[in-house]
Amino acid sequence: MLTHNRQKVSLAALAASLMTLVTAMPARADNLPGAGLSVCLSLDKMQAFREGELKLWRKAAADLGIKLVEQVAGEDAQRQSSQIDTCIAQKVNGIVAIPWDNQAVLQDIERAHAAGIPFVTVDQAPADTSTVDTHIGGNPTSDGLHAGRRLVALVGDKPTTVVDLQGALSAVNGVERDKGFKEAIKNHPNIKIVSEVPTEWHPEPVLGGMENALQKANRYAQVGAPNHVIILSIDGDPQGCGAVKDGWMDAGYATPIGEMTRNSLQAIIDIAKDHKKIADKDRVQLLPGLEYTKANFSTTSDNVWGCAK
Amino acid sequence: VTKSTRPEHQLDNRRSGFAESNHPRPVRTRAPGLGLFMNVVRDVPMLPIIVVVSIVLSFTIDGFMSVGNLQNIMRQLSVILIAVTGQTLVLLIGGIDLSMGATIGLASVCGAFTMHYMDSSLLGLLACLATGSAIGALNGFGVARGGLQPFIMTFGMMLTVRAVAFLMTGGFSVGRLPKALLQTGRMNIAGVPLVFILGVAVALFVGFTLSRTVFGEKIYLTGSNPRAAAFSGIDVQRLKFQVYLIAGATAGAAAFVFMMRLGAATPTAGDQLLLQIIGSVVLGGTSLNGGEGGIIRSCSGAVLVAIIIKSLEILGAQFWDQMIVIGILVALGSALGAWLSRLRTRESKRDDATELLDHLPGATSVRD
Repeated sequence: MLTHNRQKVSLAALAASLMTLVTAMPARADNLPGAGLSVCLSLDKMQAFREGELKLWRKAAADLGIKLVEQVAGEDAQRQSSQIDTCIAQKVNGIVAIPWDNQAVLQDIERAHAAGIPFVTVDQAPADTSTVDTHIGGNPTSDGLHAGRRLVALVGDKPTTVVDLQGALSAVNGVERDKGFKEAIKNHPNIKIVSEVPTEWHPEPVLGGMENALQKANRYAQVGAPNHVIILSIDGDPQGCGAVKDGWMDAGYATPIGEMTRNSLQAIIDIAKDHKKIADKDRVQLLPGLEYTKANFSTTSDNVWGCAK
Repeated sequence: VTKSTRPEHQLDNRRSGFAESNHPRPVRTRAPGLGLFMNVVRDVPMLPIIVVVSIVLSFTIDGFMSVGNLQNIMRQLSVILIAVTGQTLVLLIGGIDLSMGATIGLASVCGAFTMHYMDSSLLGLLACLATGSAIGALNGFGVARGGLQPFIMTFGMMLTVRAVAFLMTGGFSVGRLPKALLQTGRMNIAGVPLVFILGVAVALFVGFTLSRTVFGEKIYLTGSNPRAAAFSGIDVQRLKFQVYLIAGATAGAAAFVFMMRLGAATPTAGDQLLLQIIGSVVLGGTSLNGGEGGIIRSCSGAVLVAIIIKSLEILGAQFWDQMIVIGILVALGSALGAWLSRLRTRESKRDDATELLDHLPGATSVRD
């Protein structure tokens, strides 16, 4: 989102960025809680945020002694369905998925359950959460709401224009963040969205363009400078972390993916190994994002996935 | 020393095994076993490769030949089999339909909305077919009457159709389809998924039309030489319009099967399908230049792609690894197709020369 008033231009970016990683899974110990379990991890696509999640999934799997069978659907519902079929045929002990298509995955869930395999969704909820054993995700509406409230607090009554860099119109998280943000500013007529840009979770070209435009207008300045642009970002990716730390961005909202990834595997252990039944009230876990700023950076950065070394 | 013969109906090797031409061609004489094998290689180049690959994979990949895995492969093929038939027709007339994937997306959305509000699978099917046909008709009109390049026309259509699908849905998929449709989509008949049977049925129907009807003859002739086709009385523009219309209708049918398989419609349904469709057709040996290829060839390409993808999946390869393998396969497959095409042309010329010699008084032809 980019906000602009007479004196000052404000930029708030809902964006993810790149993070490369290579991790190795350590040897499994038989006394770990998930020892002997094989879990199929079906990701909808691979980009920076998913790489961050995958890194933490691998770590959690290693910590719990679980063998991960990784599949990436490449933004294709058919491929994801086919990959899940393969996992079912391989008789894995559980399936953890980030669905590409929240409707199509319902069929996959049904097939997995018919084969006696627990199914957990993460990050993007299926259309009907009552079908899944458990869903663990961020709280995109809440994150958007907090970002909007922060913007309202920062600009006060000043006339302000906003450029809204959205995630993707086809993704629940992108849409809900946007909805939350708009909800927060709806009673503030001084704040006006002048442009909405769906980045399809590929924000780099847009962000690059925005930075160039701001530099050209001499608006590219750090927090506190008179010509500073307010930047708010949701995800907590490495770029966002660096920008907050160095004073270029006002606040970030980090999705707690460490907790999400570990909880999803723990849920499989609970169901497949310990035969626990997850109560209906606990079926959906929505974890709000963590607000991190330069002021609280020292106390929050350890829990921001993009700040991890 | 042999003499050529001129039977009334000879296998025309430009086509798949479906094809039987009325155009007389000389017989090639070879050792019986090798001749049959070479004919198969010429007509469906991927068939021997599919057999060899399947045998190798069944010994090397645990569970490859299991019923569950074969059913998975068949389900995976169901949508593609239908879509490649339409794309094959378009390529045979020297065109291309880049909007096919997007058409599948929009048709699925229209079909899903229809089913959602009317609670009728039949009306949903009709909506899919109508949407696909309408888009195909627009493509056909633009290419045949408007004289637009097929690449440009269908590329523009792809962007437009995709945008319309997004506008209709806001980018979200459409679910809550009639239960009967979902149950039918999961049904097996004698262990074979119904969706696969539907795919095969469409492929057989289009294959039969292409190889056994005057309409099919016209398609081959138009693709081989549009000017000659026009001189021989074929209304080339009308034929092109009809082919794009049929291709659109097959995309609509593919969209319906897509919904049966996944239980949802999505505007992005065809985004990933387009390359797979064109890749399968080219890999099977249908020429991008038109006039050469056939339904069995294209279907064999689709089968090979599906087998390779599923095997790599079982082996734990990621989709980008699969894409590399498929990319290499398509390149090799098209190279093989081009080589076989040259081989056929050379043989045809040699046979024609031999035939000419046979008709010259006192002349003989020496053959290999």
